[in-house]
Amino acid sequence: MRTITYAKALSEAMAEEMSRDETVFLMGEDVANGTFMNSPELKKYVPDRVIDSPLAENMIATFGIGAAMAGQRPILDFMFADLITLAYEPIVNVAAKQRYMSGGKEKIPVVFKAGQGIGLQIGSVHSQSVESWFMNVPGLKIVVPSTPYDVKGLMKTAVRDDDPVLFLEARLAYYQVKGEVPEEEYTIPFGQARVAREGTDVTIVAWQKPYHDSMAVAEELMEEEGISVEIIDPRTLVPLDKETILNSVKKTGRVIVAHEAPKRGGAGGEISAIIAEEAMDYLKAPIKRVAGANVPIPFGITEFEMVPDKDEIKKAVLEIINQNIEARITNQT
Amino acid sequence: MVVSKNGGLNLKYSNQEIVEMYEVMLKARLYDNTIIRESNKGKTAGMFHLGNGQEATGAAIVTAMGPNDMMMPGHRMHTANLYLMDLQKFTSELVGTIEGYSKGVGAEFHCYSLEEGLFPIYSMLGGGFSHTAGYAFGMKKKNSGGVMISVVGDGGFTPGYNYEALNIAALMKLPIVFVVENNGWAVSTPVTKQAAVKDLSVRGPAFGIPGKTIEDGCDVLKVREAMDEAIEKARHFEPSLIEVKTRRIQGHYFGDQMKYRDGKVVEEEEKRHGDPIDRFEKVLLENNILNQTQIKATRERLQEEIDEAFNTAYKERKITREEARDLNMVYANVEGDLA
Repeated sequence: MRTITYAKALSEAMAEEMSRDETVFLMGEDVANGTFMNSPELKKYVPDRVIDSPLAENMIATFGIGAAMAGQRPILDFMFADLITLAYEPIVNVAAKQRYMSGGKEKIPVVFKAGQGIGLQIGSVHSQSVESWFMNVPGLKIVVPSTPYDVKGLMKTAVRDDDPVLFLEARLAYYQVKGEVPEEEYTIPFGQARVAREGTDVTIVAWQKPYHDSMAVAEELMEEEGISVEIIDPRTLVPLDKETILNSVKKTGRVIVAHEAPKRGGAGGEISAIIAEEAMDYLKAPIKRVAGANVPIPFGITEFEMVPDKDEIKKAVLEIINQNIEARITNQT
Repeated sequence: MVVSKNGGLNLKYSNQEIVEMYEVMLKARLYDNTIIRESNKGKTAGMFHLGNGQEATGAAIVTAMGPNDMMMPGHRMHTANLYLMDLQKFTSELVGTIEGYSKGVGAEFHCYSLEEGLFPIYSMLGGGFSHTAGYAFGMKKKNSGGVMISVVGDGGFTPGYNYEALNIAALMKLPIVFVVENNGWAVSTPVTKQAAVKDLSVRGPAFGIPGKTIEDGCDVLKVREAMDEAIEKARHFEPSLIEVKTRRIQGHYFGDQMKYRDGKVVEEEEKRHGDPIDRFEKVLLENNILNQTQIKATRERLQEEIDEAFNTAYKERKITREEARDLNMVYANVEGDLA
């Protein structure tokens, strides 16, 4: 099978959807010229369906929701997830609620896409991971693809879905992550996690940069320590495939949730709570979260100091593997 | 043939069209007064923004609309809801029953009906210009021939995102009419504290959109003429901005004591604008379009329809806890674990 970059897979997905359905269009700042993500596949749709917008994020989002209500299927590009703050209002107040306000009658098929996370070393407001800012809002779907295969299949599903979708791409993966992507058409349903690696000793639930770090760490731990790590990439946080996560936790009894966004209020807290509510009896060790520091991300290479890396994940696995709830309870009594 | 208040002849509209404009205004006034009556009896929930004094704007717009046109009303513009939507389903929504447009979860403020030409009001006032510009873009792409008429108040016209919308509408040559209904008050803040310019319509030309101010926005025929002209231009992809200066007789919401507005200010407003319905009735009588008996009969008929709608709604049930929590209300596609 051919191997392509995350950016190319994403670009192919959008081009294929545009060719399949003439109501699909892409609008955003600098999308036609591809300043931050080069998309040669999209060139033929410039300017009518790949639309360079004036600098106005709030308008892009609100305008796109209006266009979706008129029967279009907009993909709205925000370049940096941090810029979505300017469009937060229409996404959470309008896109997420317009169907409910119509008594469940209207549909709002719109995709809000942006690259998130570190990677360009450009400081605190161009490097954030924002999924948890939106997880508390009913009415949205949230996609966090980690691999080229997933980003393509999930984007195609996002465009075809009749609900508003927040599509958060892994910025660091655009050109650094390559993977196998078939030439043939495929889509990936929302709400189905991927068991990226099977294991028996500890489960890691991770997406985007920490997912790739975990995959590398798992390999090393097997070779060096004989520890068998299972890795689950949820792929979509809303809907969330609780079943796959819980089944894995029930099997291994030890779980780490790893993400790039700050730990406090992060999606890892939600996933940990679900595990605690539904699989407490299976846990052999306390749940661990490995996440971003509760600190802004600095400019330059220091950005790597603020988010989980291989060492941190490895350390967490070695710690959790030696923890034992039963032993601790026995010691206390 | 009609003589408008300022004595000018107006040959544009048939008697039937004129009576229609009158009825739209009157029905909204009677409806808003009924909301007050029913709220005083404790039979309604939520907050109401009443349009007493501003009926001419909405009546002019809805009667100027063509069959494929769409309108986002101002947030105190029941003229639009009552003209475009079904009286019973709208009233059921206001009362909050399952038979309402949004099964009673949206209220009269948030419910909408795209198939009947009524676009949802934008809750964060001012954001609606971009929302409707996007819809107008969809209309243009589909070659629907339709025009979007988008309304906001003077307060709602203050936030910056309005101007992102004017800019994109001009750049994309969208079929849209932006209407600013300036009643002089943003809740309790007078427009003079919101804007340093005398006419808000001057903001249109800054973006390449012609602007026009109608000083006497309580003259329904004057507003209607401006709307006809702007809608025609929009049909040829020339957006415009119309400011309608009008008056808000009530407070911001029903129950607002209006301590910020003293008698002198109210007197000035009364002198400047009068009451749009009283004024139009005078025109109808003077020109023998309707007589006193007919006016009385019209009032009684409309009030009866309204009372019946409320009484029917009171007998309907509310949405249940389970129905209101149904994820199908939230998502069109409920695949996956969305709970």
